[in-house]
Amino acid sequence: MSNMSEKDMSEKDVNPFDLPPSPSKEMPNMSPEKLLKKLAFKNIEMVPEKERPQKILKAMEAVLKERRSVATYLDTCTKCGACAERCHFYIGTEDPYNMPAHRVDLFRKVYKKHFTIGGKLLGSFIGAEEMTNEVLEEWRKYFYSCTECRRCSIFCPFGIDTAEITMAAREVMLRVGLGMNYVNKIIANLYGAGNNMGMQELAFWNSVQFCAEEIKDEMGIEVEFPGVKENPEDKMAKPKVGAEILYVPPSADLFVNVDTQIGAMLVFHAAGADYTMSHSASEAADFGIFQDYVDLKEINKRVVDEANRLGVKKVIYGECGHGWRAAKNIIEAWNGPLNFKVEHILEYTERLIREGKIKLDKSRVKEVVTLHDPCNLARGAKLLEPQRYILRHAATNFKEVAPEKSREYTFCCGGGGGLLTEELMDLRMKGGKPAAEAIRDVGAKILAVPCAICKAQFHVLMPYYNLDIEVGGVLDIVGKSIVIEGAKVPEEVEEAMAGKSKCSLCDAEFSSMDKCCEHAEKEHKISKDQCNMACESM
Amino acid sequence: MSVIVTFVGIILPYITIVAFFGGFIYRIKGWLSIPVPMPISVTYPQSRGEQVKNIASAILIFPDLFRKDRNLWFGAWPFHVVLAIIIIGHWRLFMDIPDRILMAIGYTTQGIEHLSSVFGTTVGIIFFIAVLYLLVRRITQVTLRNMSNPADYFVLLWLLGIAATGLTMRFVGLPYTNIATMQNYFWGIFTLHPIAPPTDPIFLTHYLLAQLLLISLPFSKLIHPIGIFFTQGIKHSLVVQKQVR
Ligand code: HEM
Ligand code: SF4
Ligand code: SF4
Ligand code: SF4
Repeated sequence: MSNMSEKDMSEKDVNPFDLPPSPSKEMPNMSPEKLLKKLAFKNIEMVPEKERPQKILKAMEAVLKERRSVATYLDTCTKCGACAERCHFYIGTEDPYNMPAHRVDLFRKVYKKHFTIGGKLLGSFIGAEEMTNEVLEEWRKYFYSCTECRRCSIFCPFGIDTAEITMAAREVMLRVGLGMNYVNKIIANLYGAGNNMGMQELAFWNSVQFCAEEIKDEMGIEVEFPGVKENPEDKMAKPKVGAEILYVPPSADLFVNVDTQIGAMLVFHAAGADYTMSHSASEAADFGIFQDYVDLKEINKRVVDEANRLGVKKVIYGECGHGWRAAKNIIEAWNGPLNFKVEHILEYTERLIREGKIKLDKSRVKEVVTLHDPCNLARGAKLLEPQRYILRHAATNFKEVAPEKSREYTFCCGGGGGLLTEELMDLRMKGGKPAAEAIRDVGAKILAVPCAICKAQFHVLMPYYNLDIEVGGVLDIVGKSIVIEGAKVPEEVEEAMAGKSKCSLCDAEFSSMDKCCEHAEKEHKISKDQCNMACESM
Repeated sequence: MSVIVTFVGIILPYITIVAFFGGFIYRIKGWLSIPVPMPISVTYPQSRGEQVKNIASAILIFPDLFRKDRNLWFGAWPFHVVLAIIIIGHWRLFMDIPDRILMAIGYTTQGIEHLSSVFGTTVGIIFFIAVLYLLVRRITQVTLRNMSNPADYFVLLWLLGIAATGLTMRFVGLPYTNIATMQNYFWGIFTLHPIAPPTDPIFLTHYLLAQLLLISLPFSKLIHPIGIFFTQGIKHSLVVQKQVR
């Protein structure tokens, strides 16, 4: 996102209460179910079963003509098998159709039969097969058993990306009304309430206020509120017109992962940034990427529109994996040219640390911290270094997952790609196993994951595999170690720092972690950086 | 001339030429006519020199595959290398250029014949073994067996057939595999004045199988050498080389 022109800021003193209604309010306020019916998702039509195969072929033709990746990937695969054992779902389920090339074959066989010369001539000899409702059943099962994580493509000699075929297949199914309930509901939430969590504007500002109050309680400082209130007592607020930065978090950060939101607010505060938030851009996620290019663009456009309306110079995306992948890949290409820059909060934070604009005291976080590379950041957007730089500065004991399981080789958590639903719990837990094992092997106490969906998945995954590991964002840890003048260290952090600890080898108790580590070094010959092998906080 | 000889030696070659070149153009044009709505963003090395170097190595030594699936690399890389050598070797049947180059660097006609018989035969045997390896791999590995259709085995059997007939000709030492005879024959085809091909059944089998393979090339998975320029393969090797330190 380099060559974006800067917008001149002439609207600095527009009254924030005289703005045209923001886009999210044009949508009626109704339940997802009702909205689903009303929206009809523009391109969805419930097609009776009998007509589905025919309609599917029509939709396939459209997709094949629209995206070059689909035909080239289908044609190029040599069935060499290099991708076979790389998919976490294959590893977890051992179902042959979860091998990436075999998954693609479900689509390819129909493609061959109906769209290629070879398939028309040679039929099943080259694996071509007629489109039927049975095939469609297989599609539904296996294209909803793919998190679009792209691990397979890294191992393929041709870089064939099964995720692209999954997206195409899902879009085709959507055209005959076979979308995914969960994804549809989330998208309906977004169009209806403005974000995936379905938070109305008042709830949104309440939540931001809650985070500010948390900071005040814990640290005794007043951070700048990223909105304008007519009265200080008001619950409702408005975004600041003409602020320099618009911060767009995944709405889950205002709901469950509040520590991440708090971390972001502290970073902005410490850097003295002029930033705002807005209910009309209260969602960094973009579930369109999980099934439909139309929604993908539309949802992304809402952020662009709001940024333009407010006249900001920069949009910063929060800790969201697929949302950043979507934004990075399409925001300029589909909704540009842009009047503002686009940055990820991790890039932004890293830069502030490098430039010395924020200070971190890593001695406050002594537990072993590890990092899960969300596949959408690692493989979808090549965002790999900032989070490492940040964690090296925010925690004393940052340990990486084994190199063959991190960075672009990272295993997906198993909950991405629109699969984060209760109904798919069994699949999610099986698919999450490789990632859980990779993290277990590090022996960490805290897992940092800069992705809201990953967080939700790991919160279930860790207990499922009996791992006692605390899950949070990268910014959560920044929030613990950030040094702000006049602020006290949050009690919780202080306790963890100074708190009593116990040597698990001889059950001796100590007044602090440091003391225990000293003891472990002396008595058990365990070096200080491996202190976590012996000492546990109590 | 019998019907078979006429078909394999005089009619089929024209079909092959049209299908092979026409097929590739048709496929590439087809791909190029589709838009790329979402270019997947990756970071490239900055300097052009580095880019060229990485792309060349991606195509020539499959470094990505070496790093990530060594068992497959040990089948696929030697296979492609000897395939390339074999293609260059067959060039002699159409043109003098390879011979002239060899002569320029000091080979005698006899020396070239010697090189061809020793080196060519060795390469042929390696090719045979490499294909066999790929076939055994496909049959024995559960993952591959699961995702293969009949044609996936058939291509490999076919290649074995081509290699076997080719090697047989070498071992039997058929006199008309003489360069001059073949060049005359091929130039007859190219100048649209076809003359009778050699009629030995082993040669005709080799020739028929090879032509059918060439015809199917643009329409099968064997289009992958072109496909790699359209997929992410080269881009990946650019990125990953940079990041695996
Ligand atoms: C550009 C780089 C290329 C790469 C990365 C590449 C890669 C591969 C791979 C991974 C296989 C699969 C081996 C298997 O069956 O398990 C394969 C097979 C094959 N390739 Fe290539 N290839 C390339 C170029 C070429 C070229 C230029 C040709 C010549 C026409 C060619 C002809 C073949 C043939 C005949 C097979 C055997 C088909 C089969 O295995 O069923 N390849 N290639
Ligand atoms: S994109 Fe991920 S989930 Fe889908 S097939 Fe590839 S490795 Fe498996
Ligand atoms: S690694 Fe690539 S070429 Fe090989 S089977 Fe998988 S998708 Fe096909
Ligand atoms: S939730 Fe995280 S690991 Fe899973 S698909 Fe999304 S980014 Fe990847």
